[in-house]
Amino acid sequence: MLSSGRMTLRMRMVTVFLAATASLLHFGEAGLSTALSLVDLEGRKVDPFHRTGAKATVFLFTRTDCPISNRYTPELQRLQSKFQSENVRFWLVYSDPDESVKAIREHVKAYGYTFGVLRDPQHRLVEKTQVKVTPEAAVFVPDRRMVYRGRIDNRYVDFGKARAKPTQHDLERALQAVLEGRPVERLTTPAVGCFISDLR
Amino acid sequence: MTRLAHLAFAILIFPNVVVLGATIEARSQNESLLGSSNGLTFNKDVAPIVFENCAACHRPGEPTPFSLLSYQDVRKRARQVAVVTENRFMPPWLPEEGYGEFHGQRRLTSDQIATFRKWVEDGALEGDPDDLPPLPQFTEGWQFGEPDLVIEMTEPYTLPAGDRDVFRSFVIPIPLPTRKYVRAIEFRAGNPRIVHHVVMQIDERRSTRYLDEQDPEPGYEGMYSGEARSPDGQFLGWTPGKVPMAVPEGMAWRLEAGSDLLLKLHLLPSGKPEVVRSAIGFYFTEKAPTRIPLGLRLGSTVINIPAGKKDYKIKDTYKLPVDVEVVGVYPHAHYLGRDMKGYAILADGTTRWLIRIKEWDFNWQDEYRFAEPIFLPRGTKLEMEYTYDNSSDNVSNRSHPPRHVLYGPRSSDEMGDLWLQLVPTNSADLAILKRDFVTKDYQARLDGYKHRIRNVPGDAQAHFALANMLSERGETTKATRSYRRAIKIKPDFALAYNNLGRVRLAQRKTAEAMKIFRQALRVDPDLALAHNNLGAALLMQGEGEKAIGHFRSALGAWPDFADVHHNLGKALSLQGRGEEAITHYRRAVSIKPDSFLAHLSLGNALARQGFLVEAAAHYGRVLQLQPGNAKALENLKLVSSYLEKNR
Repeated sequence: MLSSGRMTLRMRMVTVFLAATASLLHFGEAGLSTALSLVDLEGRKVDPFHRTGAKATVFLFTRTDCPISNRYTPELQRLQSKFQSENVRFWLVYSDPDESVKAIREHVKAYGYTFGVLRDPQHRLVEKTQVKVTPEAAVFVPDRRMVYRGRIDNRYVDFGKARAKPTQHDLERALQAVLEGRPVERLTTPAVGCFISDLR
Repeated sequence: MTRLAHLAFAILIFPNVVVLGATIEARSQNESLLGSSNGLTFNKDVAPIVFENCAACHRPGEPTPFSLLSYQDVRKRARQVAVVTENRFMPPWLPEEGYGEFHGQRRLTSDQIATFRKWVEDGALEGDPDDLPPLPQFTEGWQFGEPDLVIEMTEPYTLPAGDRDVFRSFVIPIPLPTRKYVRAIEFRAGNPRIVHHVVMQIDERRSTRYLDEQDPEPGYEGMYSGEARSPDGQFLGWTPGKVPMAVPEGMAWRLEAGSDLLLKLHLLPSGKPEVVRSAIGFYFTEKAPTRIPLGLRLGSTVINIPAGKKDYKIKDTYKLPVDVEVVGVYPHAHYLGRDMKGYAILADGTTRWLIRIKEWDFNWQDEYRFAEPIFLPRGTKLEMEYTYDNSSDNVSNRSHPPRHVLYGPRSSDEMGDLWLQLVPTNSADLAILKRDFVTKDYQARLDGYKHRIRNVPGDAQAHFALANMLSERGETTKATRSYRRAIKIKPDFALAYNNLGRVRLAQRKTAEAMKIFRQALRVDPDLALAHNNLGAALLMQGEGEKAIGHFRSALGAWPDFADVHHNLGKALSLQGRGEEAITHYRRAVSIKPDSFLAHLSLGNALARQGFLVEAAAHYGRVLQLQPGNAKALENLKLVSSYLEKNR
């Protein structure tokens, strides 16, 4: 009885994976670079997948004035230093159309980020990935398929309500799974932060 | 079976994603349907609420991460504003409605909250510029104007980027040559982004400086108070958004010369290293208090919560021996506290609520002053009841999985206090109230330290604190044993040597006491207390010259130490150096104007030098402070008759 119960659970997890994958996005060849009008700080169009050879590409949606985003800086830097040697590419995506390039540069410098920096003023990538808040992550594999979208970890439960330490490192686990060629166990997680829909 | 299970999950997963899409569509449809003519607007509906309830803190220079002063500011956080007001995270205000009315209440009405929600649903429109109310006028910087005295953290502290809250205490000397009366105190965070809450206490005995000195960084880790106290029952706290309040009329508090301010900061990392240097402004008054409150603590000092326990309760009660007015209340617990009740049961059995907090949040702790003082007659029972959740359901739990938690000062320990600020209706009753309450409080504190030692036998601070309490009550044998235990655990515990020496000195074991004071000074050569005590012991042995050396060393480390000035005066006087003695007695009197002993010694020294008129004045002061003092009466009689004869 017991063992058959376990079997069912594992089967279920596989099913969950398949079902959710189907609903997640897949960008075709013409996908991100041209249609999404992602730009770097010089205003040049950028295809974040172009010739990177990255095993995984992580977009971290942020803005300069979101305290929850900012508090995640040390954790994001930890993840970057853990995974960059394994060929994972991290991009910060600033999604407030009113933020000046100067303000973004200052922010990147003040917090010491060494990530690639993109702007998504028209929320094209926001809409494609369906991220809702800053900070929120979207992870893509080389065939431009999104395999994870959601929080960095479960430290925040609500505005002003946070655990002393996270108990689930969702983004880290997703990246680990991608690098090990395993399916990501949980494809979407709810993130807590500043609403991107307020930035128009 | 298995097939069915798959199906159920597949269905569960899909709507999750579909619903999100639907929400977005509904929103944009709304936006296109509503023109600017109907629907709520910022200028007309939202701005009045924001300006009145949010803008005082959400403006540049204040302790908030962003401003809410314009349409652009609020629009960029429109949904966030709707969400945080709806779940009452903002404006931050813990006390439950209907359980007590307080000064500076920050609570939105449900209509105001609904307005935010509707405005967002209507598309967060700006509206007609003519509808926009004027922005309120705010005072920049010090809210009470330029303070009479500003002190600052002696050095800036750099908070690392880190990912966890930091609790750190800073000792700030207050440069005051004489006692002052304080009518208001104002805290300026210096770096408002990271300072989350603050408790300030006054350390008259400099009992925390050594902790600061031992810690290589500015300040010291944790919130240990030593002998620092809330002065005259005044709670000196700060949280972002707190409007500084002057004391109620006639309730200025005493600030003794030479005191330190102990600044306990709860710091929240911002994501990058941050430098903080907070400042405190004092506003003095000439008027001595006419009503002195008592800070009365109900609660438990023996909290002991098993891991996983969901509804651990503590209760305490105290029956008032005199009529009082309750002026303020300060509830305190750490991260496991959930529900807090404080109330009074009157003689006729009716309950009068003082405070109720249903969802305690350590991060937003504050003290509250009642809108009107609450009169409670003698015989009223004050009660408190707190509930704690040490399960993993409590997201604030510092430990995952939960661990066994004990009473203690660290944020990972737990506390349960309900402080009430009481003023006896008849000021002569203060002594009665104090005497009655001290007995209860002494027992509570004693139980607390014993409980701590039973559970954490290696806690040197707990042994030390227990020893101090025992020595206070003259239980010298037990006190000696506890000091020795503290020293055994922490062989460089200079203050424990010093206090042990004091106990031995009181038992007339002078030689042994001197040896112990010297040990204290080996560990900490600048410990003014030990220099003073060793000096006093030497003086008792007739070693005046050596005693004077130690008193001077004590003053080198602590120039405003009134007792040392007095002792030095005594030593000089015994050596026939009367004029020098007078100088130091005068310092003692100016630092501690209420010390009858200092006035008596100064009177005697003046009389010996022939300054009889002035001597008589000081004898008079002794008799005011201690009516019937035999020495003063006798000497005053002698001096007066001499003055009479020679008129």
